[in-house]
Amino acid sequence: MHLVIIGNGMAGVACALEVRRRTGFTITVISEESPYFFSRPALMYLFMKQISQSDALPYGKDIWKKNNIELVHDRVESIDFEKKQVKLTTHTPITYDKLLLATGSKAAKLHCAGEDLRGVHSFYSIQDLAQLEIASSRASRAVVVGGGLIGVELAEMFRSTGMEVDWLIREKRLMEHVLPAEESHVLSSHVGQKGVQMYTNEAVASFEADSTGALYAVRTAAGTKLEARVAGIAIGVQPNVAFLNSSGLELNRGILVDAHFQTSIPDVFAAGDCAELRQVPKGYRAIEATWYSARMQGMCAALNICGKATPYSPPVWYNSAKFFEMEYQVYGNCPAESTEDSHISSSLWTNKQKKRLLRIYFDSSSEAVVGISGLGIRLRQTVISDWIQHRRPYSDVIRHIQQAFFDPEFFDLMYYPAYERHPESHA
Amino acid sequence: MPEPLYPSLSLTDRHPFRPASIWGPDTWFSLGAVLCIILGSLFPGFGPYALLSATLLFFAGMASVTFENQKLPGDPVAYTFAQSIQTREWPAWVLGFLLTTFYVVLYWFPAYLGYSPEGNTGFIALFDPASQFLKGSAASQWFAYGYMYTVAVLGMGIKFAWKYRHNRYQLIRTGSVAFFQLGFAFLLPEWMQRLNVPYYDWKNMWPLNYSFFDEWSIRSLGQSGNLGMWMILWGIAMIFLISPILTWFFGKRWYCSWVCGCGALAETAGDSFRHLSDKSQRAWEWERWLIYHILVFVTLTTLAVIYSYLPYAGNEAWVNKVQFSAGVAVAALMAGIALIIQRRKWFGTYPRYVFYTALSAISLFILAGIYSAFAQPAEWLPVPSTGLRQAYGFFIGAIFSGVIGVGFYPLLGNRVWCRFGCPMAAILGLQQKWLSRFRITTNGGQCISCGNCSTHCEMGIDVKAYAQEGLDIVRSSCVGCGICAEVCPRGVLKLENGPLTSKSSLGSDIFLKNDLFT
Repeated sequence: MHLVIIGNGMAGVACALEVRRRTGFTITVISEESPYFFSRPALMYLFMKQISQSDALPYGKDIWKKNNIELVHDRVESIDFEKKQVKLTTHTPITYDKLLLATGSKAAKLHCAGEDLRGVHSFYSIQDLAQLEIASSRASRAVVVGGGLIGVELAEMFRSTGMEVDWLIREKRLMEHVLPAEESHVLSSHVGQKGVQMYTNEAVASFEADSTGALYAVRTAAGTKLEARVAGIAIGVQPNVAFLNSSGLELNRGILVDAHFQTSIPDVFAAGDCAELRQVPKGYRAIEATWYSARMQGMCAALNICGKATPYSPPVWYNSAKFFEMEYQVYGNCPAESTEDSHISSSLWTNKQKKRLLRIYFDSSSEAVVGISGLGIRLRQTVISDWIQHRRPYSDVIRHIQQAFFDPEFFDLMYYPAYERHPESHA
Repeated sequence: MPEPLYPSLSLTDRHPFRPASIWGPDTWFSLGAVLCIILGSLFPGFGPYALLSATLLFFAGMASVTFENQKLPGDPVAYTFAQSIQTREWPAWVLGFLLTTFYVVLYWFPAYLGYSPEGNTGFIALFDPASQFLKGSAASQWFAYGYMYTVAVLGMGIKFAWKYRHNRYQLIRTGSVAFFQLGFAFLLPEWMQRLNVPYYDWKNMWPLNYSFFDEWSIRSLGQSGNLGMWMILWGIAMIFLISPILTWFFGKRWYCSWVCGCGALAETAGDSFRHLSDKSQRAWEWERWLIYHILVFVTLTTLAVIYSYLPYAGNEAWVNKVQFSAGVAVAALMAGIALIIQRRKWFGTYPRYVFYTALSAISLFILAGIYSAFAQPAEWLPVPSTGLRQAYGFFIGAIFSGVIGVGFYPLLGNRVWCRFGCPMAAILGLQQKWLSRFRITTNGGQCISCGNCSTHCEMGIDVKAYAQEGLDIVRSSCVGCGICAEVCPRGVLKLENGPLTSKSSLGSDIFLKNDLFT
């Protein structure tokens, strides 16, 4: 039985290793981007010279040979689903018995003038990283477009080299649709303290080139001209499925899959950023482009590929990020704004300096906790996830909140240990 | 133009893409300190002030990093791989060469530094005023060494504390090692010599203090009245009582990164080089082979040395040769039985030869003990104990621990001795693995496999391999420095002391394994 996996990101690799643990299948992993599986979240630390190239490989280089997993570093031109063949640019076509599509995402484009200039790059692939490094070495000012998690990473990367950073955000406050107002405000001032100039309600009108055809300035929608020789574009990602457009595979925005990661074509599976779930688990989205989901989806797909029919049933949704020095964790249902007709309230707890924010979301009528987020503090996932899963009441959670902290020893002694109710919070 | 985000805390330029420069303010101050030393060595008139000025200049240089980044505290570990002295480029080799040369000269050619029992000259003479002040006599090369070592720990400790000032664990731990180095390893033993008490570092225990049980050491302490007796008892209590208890509660970090002098220098001056520790599987295998062999070496040597000066049976004494040998045989037998009973739990994950090698080593002790109890030879082993002691002292105590241990910081990392050689680390490590409440827990499924933890682990542990599978890290080499938890960008790691039974990240399976799906 030959399993071919297109894409050596977290989803593809999680699947490959799990299938290898359970079977003796022949496994081939194809990647256009890189010869070895690397951690995409590690790219920013490569840029900042915090880790070396080998540190960015989660399983190193030897594990593939040891586990008899063939790696092919090539581009997939097309797939013949009738003949069950994958056609590559330089290698001979590979025939599969089972196929997993794990092609990941591609960065969304702005569709404005000058977008393809040297110096204007998105931040997804290692090729993007290389371009950003080259452009940064010649720049003293940078522009970041997009106020999401990747945008923050770009801002930190550029600031780390000493460049002045201008950050263009479409929303009226930072992460308006993801973070409540208080968290957004704390983050904005933190980012401002780090020397990043943030422009809200702004967008790019065009990128301007110098005489050599490289970026030299960014013109915003409001008419401001920002000098910059490097610009990082982070306005979102989409499933990388364009090459499958007229292949017969059923697509929407991504590759449509059922609860067993099976696509519309038998023996063809899809998982990770490129997959779109027909049945969306509670708390998740149809396309879930996170590292954590890719890992879980890849593993579940592996089970189904091995013949063990297993519907996808992930745990309480979670994600995490780090905004310069502030760590952020979010679990469950944490809406950015509670509107009048939403049935979710939240209660915010902070320390005196307002550098640590713990927010507990609960059902307004039953008081069952539905989500918890932490900014500047570390939360213990097993405990938080258990509470949300079992809909523990708010009062219980508050009473046992110490169990949920995962901060280093002596942490409480440094700042004021008491958390105060924020005056504007609910309940 | 606003302040750059990550001003150099090492010796370099802040922009990672320009050729790294090592000429920061701390470099200039340090060179000034060296200049004072050179002037003092050459011009006796300046001598008495040379050491003090050099020390103050050095501290000023270390403190100067705090002025640079008043405005913007940045991520401490950015730029690790952009600074030439940290990536084995020429400044690293120069520094390594200078350190190694200094150690060789200090150990075996102190006359070149100006040391002389008839009256010091040159470099060592600069330490005479301080030595007279503390212990009332002229400086030896060891006093000079102790002084410089302590200044290095304190000065680089300032820099380390500034780098990690937002982490309370790092601040307290740094204060602890600085206190123990200054107080227990330097001031107290030196000052007490003024009272005609033998030099004694209360925190330095066997087997790190490998000559504690030597005849000259025991006699010297035994002849120093009640205090001397307390020192002997304390040394024994440390081995059999205090250390095991503390290691049970806290893991070996209570010593290795909170108290030990080697650790003090490694965590402060050596912090810039922690990422150079070899993370490969091969290095890990070498590490275990070497460290346990050295443990057997020092144990055999010490037992042989003790045996050689004990009286024969029939004489008045605390203990005679026969009793000692019998005692060793019995103790080794009990250890062997413990290993056999706990074989699955303690040796389960290792190839069979590891267990059999351990049993063979123990059998050696039993056989030597039984034989000597009956035959009472002059020496416990066929090899003379003095020869063993000299070999150990030279190769392990001097070359490995001293010359390579510190001299090779810029090339092999800051914990080469601790990881590959220290027999005390071997003992504490075994207990940490088998009988300790300490572990590093991982936070469910939060790991993003970025590799920061493994990169910055000074003991060469691939922390990431555990974190990304949601497993606890219980490794004999972990010294609990806490830097992995500090640099983790997602809060995945936490140093904890917890109940022995819960040594698995319960519940993390649902984020990482398939148990949810089966």
